[in-house]
Amino acid sequence: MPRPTLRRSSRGTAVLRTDEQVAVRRIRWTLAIFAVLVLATTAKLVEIQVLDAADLAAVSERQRARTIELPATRGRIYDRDGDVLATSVQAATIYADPRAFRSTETPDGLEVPAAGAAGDVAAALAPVLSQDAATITERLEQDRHFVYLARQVSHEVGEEVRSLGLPGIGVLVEPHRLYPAGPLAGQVVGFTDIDAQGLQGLESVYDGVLSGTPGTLLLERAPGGLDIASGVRELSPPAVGTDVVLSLDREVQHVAEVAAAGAMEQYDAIGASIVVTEVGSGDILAMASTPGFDPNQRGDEDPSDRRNRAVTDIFEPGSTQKALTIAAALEEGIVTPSTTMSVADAIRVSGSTFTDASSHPTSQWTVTEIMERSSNVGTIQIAQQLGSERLDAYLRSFGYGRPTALGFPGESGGLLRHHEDWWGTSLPTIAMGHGVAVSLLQLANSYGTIANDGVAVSPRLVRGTVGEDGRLSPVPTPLGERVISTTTATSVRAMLEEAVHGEAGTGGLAQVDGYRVAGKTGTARKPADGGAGYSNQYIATFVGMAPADDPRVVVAVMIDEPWPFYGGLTAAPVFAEVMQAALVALRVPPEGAGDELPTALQLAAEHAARIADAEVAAADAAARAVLEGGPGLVGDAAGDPPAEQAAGVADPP
Amino acid sequence: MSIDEAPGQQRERPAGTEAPSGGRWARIRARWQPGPWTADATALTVLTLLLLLLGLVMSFSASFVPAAEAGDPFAVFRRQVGWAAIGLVAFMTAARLDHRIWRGLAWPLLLVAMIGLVLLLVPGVGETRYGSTRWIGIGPLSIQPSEIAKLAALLWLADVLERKRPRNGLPQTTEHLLIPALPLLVLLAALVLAQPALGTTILLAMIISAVLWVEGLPGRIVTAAVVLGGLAVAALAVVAPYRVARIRGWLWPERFPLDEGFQLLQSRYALGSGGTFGLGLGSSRGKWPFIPNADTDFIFAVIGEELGLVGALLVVALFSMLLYVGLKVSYAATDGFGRTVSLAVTVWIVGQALVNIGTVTGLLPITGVTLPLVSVGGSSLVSTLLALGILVAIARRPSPATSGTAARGGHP
Repeated sequence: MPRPTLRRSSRGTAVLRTDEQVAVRRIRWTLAIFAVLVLATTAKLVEIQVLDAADLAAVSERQRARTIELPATRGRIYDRDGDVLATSVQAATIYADPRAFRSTETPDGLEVPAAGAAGDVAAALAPVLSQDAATITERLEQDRHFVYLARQVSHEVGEEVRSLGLPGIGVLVEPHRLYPAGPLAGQVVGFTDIDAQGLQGLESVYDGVLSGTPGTLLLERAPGGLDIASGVRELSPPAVGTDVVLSLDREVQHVAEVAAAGAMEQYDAIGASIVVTEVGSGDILAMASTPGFDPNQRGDEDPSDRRNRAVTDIFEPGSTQKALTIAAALEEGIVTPSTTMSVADAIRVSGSTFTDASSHPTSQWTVTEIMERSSNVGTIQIAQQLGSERLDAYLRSFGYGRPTALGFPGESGGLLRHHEDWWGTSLPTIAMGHGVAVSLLQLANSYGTIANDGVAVSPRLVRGTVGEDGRLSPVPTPLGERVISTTTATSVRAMLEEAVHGEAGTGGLAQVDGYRVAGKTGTARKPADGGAGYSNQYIATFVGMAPADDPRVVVAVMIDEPWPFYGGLTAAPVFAEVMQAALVALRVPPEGAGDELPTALQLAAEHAARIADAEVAAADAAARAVLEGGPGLVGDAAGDPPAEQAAGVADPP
Repeated sequence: MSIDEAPGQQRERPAGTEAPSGGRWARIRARWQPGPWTADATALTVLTLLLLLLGLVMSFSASFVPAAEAGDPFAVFRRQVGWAAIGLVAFMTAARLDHRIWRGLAWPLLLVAMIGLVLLLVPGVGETRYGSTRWIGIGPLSIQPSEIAKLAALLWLADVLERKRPRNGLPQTTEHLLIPALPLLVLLAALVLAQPALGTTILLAMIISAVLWVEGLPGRIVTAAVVLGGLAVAALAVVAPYRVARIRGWLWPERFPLDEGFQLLQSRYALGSGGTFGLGLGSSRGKWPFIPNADTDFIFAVIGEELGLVGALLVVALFSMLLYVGLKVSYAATDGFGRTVSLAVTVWIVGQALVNIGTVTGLLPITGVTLPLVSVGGSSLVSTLLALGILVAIARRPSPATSGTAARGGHP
């Protein structure tokens, strides 16, 4: 049977084994060795799948978890009657993963081929996206993981791209901001960037309110971008943004914009702004500046066209200011409307001579007549009795020298030096509305105080917000602050009424059929570009209210560099056009008082020469005073603080 | 575990087997009549079918994501079912023939494998995937000659040693063992390394070593061979930059999380995510595909993720049982050839499984070895099933004298 072979055992004794015995021993050894290997494998598995399992699973989950932000639907912006000025719609956005168009190599040197050829995909997309195939190809070949091909295009385009089923190309749904009213109130409403961040105007001011809270979708995503079917999905839905209801009236705004554009055209001006406010509430019914822009099609317009220039840009109010100077004097009891003063046609103050529009013999004029005739000399005489300190204080109470409570981005507070810094000629020039600068909104607001029986109310653009419940949460009407007494206010309104309806008034063209209007023209020379002195260009203004005995609306018009440049000729008729529309919009019944008066055109012919002379004389006198060393508004030789150098275009500190 | 059963006993040749009739298959069956069915044969068949079934289920689960990306989620699975059918035919055929028929068939089989391996060296003949030329396309099928070579080398060496087996019952001398074995190994290793396929080379060395081991290669030579083999593998690893990277990725996967360490880290994440009871069949995240080759070399990671430690240990247990039964068959084999072949087949399949699991768990560096019967892959599945069929035939313990050419005398 088995033939023995000689082997040495461990103890040194000779043992004989057949090959079969050797094989059996080896088989047993094999079993033992493998038992060890199986145990090692088991131990390793237990280590990974039990001891380290939680850590490994956590890391693994982290690398898969993707949080997708779900954009919240941005709130709408409505006008006061609920017409939509800004809304968001769902649009399609086409993107690409350029990695799909090049072959890659793994660390092991394995070649992962490209999923498609960039050129072919671009050629298929080009007609759908109306883009050049070469441009698309260039984007597809970028060394990135994500590129946009077309943002916020129509659903039809999105569907068409999806139906092509191209590799590496995807379609997202993205909200697109739309302004249904187009350029209407564009500078007020503002706009968002493509990612729906409010950039300008109320879109920027109310960004936090409008934007809502984005939601999130947590899901597990594979390296190739696939959503893992069996993975977790946690949705926290976005909170819709709050709607904002403006004080603007779409109709009045439209009339104001058309009127401003018409004035620009008719008087060959470089710009025009109009502000319409409701008396008492401070609601801004219209705020227009032309040229404007369409927030739906931004791009090539002048950046200044996007500015809400009625609040950002300032100018010298000129003669419109006289009403405030006289109101202060009335309130202080220095004069009454019927106080008679001896007014010469020239007055010398601190070495400068200020003249009236036309030479006239020294006359006994009442304060009302001084206002009606826009007499410089008379106004200066009243201001001299009032004094610098009180004039300064009243102007500030009327809202000069600081921004309104509107809080609009870039809003200017105007320029008004503290009275201690006034020069010798400061009092007379400021009394006439020169050497001081305001925004059109500030001007409208100061007249709003007179219209509101002497109580100043902060202007506002937003009436309230509409949350998810659909109910309006109104913004509280600010409490007014009394600046002058009702009596004073009534007196000033009567004077302003004379300035429009009186025989010698400069604002005849501001009359509105069926209503009594109280208002004042203004003409001011613009500061020179270089910063020293004044240019030969003018700013024409008209600000007024109607009906005169119980004002409901204030309209302020400013025309930049018109020809002719007289406020009474250019701004006044624009005022009349807008005021008419505003009164209709607020359903203010006509008084029937206008019928017996001459038509505006007749008045225009009658008064043209006088208006021109009076206004221009004031402006020119102010300019002269500056040249003679007075406190000009801008950069006179005395070396004004740098902040004031920018007057008329930008915000003061 | 231990093997208690006594070495196989002689069995009576069943009656009626000497009257061949009918066609060629009947004549072959008559000539190569297998032994009677045994409990071990049943155990091997059941284990094989269980692993195959698990493999088919998991191959679908692990492959449908990339397959669906490519257009048909069932594409890989359907092909694998086809290969499994071919493999099962091979398995059943081999199980119903006396295993000694493979002594003769080993020679043409090795020839075919060699021709295939040489053809792969001819540019343009082989298919290159993942930077390695291992496949020959025949019609719709892709065949890996190296998978045939593993079985062919095993059978051929066992036959040669059987022919050289000393009449006196003594173990083979070292020279007689090494003279056919070493040139065979060197030749095959050279051909396989040219693909390059270090993992297959290591398996070939393991198979040939298993044959020599059971044939009684002296312990000191075995020790020396293990040392030399380790050095050779180390040398081969160092000469190729991608193998150095793999070693780095194995030792410090966290330091190369996106490069060399990526596959191992992702594999560990998958196993860890699976935890004790798994995420559930079909729920693997790793196959999405964080893990490269989730359906082939790293299918065990998907098993561990979907079926948890329970599923992973089930696989280990099935292979352990295969090891036990396979070694028992070897122990009880009625002839030297059967004993050697059954041990080598067992060591090959179970060893390959442990190497695969070792790479997936990070016990071993990544070499590109599949999990037998489970991983997606055609040639490997067919040759594994054929080898297991032969193992079943050996488990049937045909009478040593009835067939074969050099059956040795009885047992104690």
